[in-house]
Amino acid sequence: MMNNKRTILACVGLLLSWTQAWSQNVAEMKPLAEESLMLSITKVGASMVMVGERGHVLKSKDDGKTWYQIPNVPVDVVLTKVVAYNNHVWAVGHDATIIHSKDAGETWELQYYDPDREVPFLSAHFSSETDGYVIGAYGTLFSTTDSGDTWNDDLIDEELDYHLNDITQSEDGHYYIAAEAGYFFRSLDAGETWEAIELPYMGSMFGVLALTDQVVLYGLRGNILVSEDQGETWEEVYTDLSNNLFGADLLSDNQILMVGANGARLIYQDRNIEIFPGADSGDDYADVLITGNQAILIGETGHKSQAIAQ
Amino acid sequence: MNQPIQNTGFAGFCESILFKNKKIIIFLLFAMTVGLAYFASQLKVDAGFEKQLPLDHEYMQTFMEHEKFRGANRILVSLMDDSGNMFNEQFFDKMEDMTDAVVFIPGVNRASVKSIFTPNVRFVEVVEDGFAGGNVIPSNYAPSKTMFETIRSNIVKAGILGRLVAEDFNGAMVWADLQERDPQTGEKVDYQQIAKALEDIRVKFEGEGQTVHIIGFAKIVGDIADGAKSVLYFFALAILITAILLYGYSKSWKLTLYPIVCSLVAVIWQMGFLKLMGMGIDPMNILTPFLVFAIGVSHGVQMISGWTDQMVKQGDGNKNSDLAARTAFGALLAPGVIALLSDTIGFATIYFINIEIIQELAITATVGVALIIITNLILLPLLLSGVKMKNYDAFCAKFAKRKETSGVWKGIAGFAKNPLASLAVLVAIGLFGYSYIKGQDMQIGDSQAGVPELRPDSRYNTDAMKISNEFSLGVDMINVIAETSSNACTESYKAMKNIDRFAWHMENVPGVQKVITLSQFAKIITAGWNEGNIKWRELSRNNYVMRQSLSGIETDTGLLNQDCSVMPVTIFTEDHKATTINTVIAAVKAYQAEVPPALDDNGGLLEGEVKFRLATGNAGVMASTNDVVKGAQMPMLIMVYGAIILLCLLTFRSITGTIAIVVPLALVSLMAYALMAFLGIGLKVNTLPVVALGVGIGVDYGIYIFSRLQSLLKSGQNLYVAYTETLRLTGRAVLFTALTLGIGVGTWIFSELQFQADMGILLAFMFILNMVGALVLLPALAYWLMPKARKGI
Repeated sequence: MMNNKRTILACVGLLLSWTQAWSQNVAEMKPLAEESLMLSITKVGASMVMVGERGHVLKSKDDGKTWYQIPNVPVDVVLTKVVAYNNHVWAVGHDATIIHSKDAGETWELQYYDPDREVPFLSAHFSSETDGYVIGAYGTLFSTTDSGDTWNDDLIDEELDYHLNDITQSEDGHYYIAAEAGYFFRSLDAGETWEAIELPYMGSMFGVLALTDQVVLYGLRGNILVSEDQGETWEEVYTDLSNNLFGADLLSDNQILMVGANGARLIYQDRNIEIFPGADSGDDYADVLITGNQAILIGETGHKSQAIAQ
Repeated sequence: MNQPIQNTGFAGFCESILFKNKKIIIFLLFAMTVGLAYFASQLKVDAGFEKQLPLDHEYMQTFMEHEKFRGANRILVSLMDDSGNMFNEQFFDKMEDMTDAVVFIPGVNRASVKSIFTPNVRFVEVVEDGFAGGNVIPSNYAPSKTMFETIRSNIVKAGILGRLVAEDFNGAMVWADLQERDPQTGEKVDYQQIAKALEDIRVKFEGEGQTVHIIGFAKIVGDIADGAKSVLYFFALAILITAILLYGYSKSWKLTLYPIVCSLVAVIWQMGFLKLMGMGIDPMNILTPFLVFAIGVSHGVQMISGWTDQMVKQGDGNKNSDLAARTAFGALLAPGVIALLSDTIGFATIYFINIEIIQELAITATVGVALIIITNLILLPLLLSGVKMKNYDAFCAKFAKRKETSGVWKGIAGFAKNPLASLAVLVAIGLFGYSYIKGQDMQIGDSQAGVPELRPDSRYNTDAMKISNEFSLGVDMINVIAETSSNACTESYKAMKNIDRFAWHMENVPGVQKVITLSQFAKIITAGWNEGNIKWRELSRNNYVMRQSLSGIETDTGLLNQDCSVMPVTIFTEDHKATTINTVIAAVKAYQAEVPPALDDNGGLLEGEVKFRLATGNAGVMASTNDVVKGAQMPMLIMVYGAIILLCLLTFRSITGTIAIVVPLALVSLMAYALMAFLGIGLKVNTLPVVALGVGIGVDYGIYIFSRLQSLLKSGQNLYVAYTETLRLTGRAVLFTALTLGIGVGTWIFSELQFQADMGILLAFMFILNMVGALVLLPALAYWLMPKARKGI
């Protein structure tokens, strides 16, 4: 599968040729950035960083109470995912964009940008300061071993060109990828080979989380799937929800808070679902981050905090 | 001096012709009045939206070009459920019927009607094999708890929460755009008929647990026209007050009746001529006839005063009312004609402001004032010449007292010499400074959130408040028209990106609530085609994806035109205060200046370039009107004053005299602006002419006083003596007129129309202060400017 590896250096010359075709714009600083579409949030040390549309990158140093927009982010496209390892932060997004920060999200540089490719990157995972994956539409799978200075451009499968929606790594080092149209991918050899698995549900899965003894997928129209054998077989969890589920975070070792469209918020624990209590405005939520006894929900109207009942 | 003066020259010529043929002329004028009264009775109230528009203004060019995206003449009808929850059978039944009722209002553009029951309001839902869309109310609608749950979720998916449905689901709204002309017949729509139809809808659907709230230009017109009926009662009251006070002044019913009748004749002629010219009367111009009446009374009182004086001067037992009338006519013809001509020319200059409703006002006022020359300078003395009294001597004896100058008048005469003259000038300079500074605070446009013409607690304004509280959007908006190449929304990523970037900039402008434009829908639909995945909410660079996303969007959404070369960017503002609108307009201009569209050699747009044109939408229209009003204010005053100055110079051949007449007027104009700032009355189309009209009222006083003063000075008297004598007759009449009319319009404060109340205050202020200016400041200025006349003081 990895035989047609192409390594592309994100060298200056290439970048210049891209910028002639499409000059990418620096994200604009705007007061309402905080209330615009936010898609991904992560902890970076004691701080938090969230990213969203128009190249908006925002940072908080007080557990999400106040946020400030980072200036001079090199792109103004929709950023779909932010991941961090120590002080290194990467954000990926549309126009095959990868941007990188070495100082916990204060300053950013462009690592990869290729709008002519017409591929959005949808998720990423870094297992160290140097090694990581970026995934996206049409089976696109990028990897790096030098913090993203160079990227290895690949496809996950020669035949299956489904969108790769989310990637995670379990404690035992296995990689799991949630994908489109009833497909799931895994690598049990730390990314050497990838294996496609058909799910019992034909719809797309937008997110994946690995617990100690379970892998949990969530996605289209409220569907949740659970596997206890590293993704080999799957079991559907009944929900009477028909809203898409987009993001999740661990409430505890075996409890997951999931969020999604039309204000969907639910708690998953051992194949059981309960509705997360609290008033709801019906917004679409894209992601959630648990910090202390607060859940920070982000989505189409920015961010908000909600207390977690003990 | 005490002998009747023989009229010579032009006045004498007029006198001999007119008075010789008195009976014929009176008969002709009477016949004319009867004829014009017939036409006046046919005069219709004629309101229109387009006539409030400054058609020359850049924004209005956009407005006229993009008829489809006007969105300015919109009516909003909301149905609110008392229970706080709209999901019940009765509410939905009513909402459906109400939507139909709005569709069938004559003049409503049926395709523009939007509510949860109209097919142009749709939602998009993601399902396994793509995504589905549908009407908010499913075709198999039957009231049930699950059905209501479905509808509730459809409302959220359709993105109409806060627009067509209240934020808390306690009500819903119907939107409809009005057309100024019936597309079939080309006839102008009747706004009062529409207003009545709207009120019928309220009556029909309000009650039993629901309330109906209606706003929009048509409703404003209707409510003002309704209020205008009470305007008539206030006119009647003002006339009655004038009559009572005039009786106290003239001590004779005949002398009371004649000036009032003559002034009313002027009003009847004015309205008759308007009808003959094919015009109607706009509810906003309904005060002009009263103004004509007031100016008529002002001249009439001078005539009465002059006639009475002549009668008193004639020897006992030898009274000749005809001779007195001729003498008064001769003495007052020149100043009267000058005063009325300067009014006429002054009002005529307002015509140069290219807003139809103001031009209508200019015509209405000009015609009315010009007619006063006939009714009060000709008809009135002719009537007076035929006055017969049982006992002239007894009548005249009542006025004997006036021959002596009382203490008050001696006090006022003191302003023709120092120290009072200097004091008056100093106070005037102080007031000039203060008024000028305070006047800068005057708002252009509306300074309040509601409709300033109606009372804050009127049904309309409470409805407006209710709707803006319950629905976040929809009332005040500026449409910026994005023009680009054809099929831009499916073929040009760059154009869509440009529009989207502009929209985001506007969304960040203070005072903007939300911006709606096609690019946002493009993103949501692109995500929809990707199973609703929120991470795909981005404009696609792929033409195939763009076509897939946007080809299904109908033009009736108001988001694009037929070939997608025009896409409005709708900016919803928090309110329509001038400051809010100005901020947004400035931001649009700044954006255009910062990123101007790249053009080819022929001035056409290059691929993907977008021209953002201001502006339609109600607030866009206000922006252009505010612009024009602001720009017109100074030229209008310059023209009005120019006409007055010119006529004064020609008549009195005295620069100092002209200054003495014009400076007090100018001071009062400035003070009127300061008062408007103080009362929070904004300068807008409806209030723009009021100060010019106020000048027209005030100039009469100055001209009558100076005219007499000048003739007395010419006979060799010094200023103080001459002014004392001027006050005895002319001054008394001026004081009386100003107080009478001031009290008359002062009662308007109690009108149900805020507009009339505001005008009442402003006009009373100008009547009285112009009088004070003419009586106090005019002689003080004369004292300073005419050192020769100080001899012997």
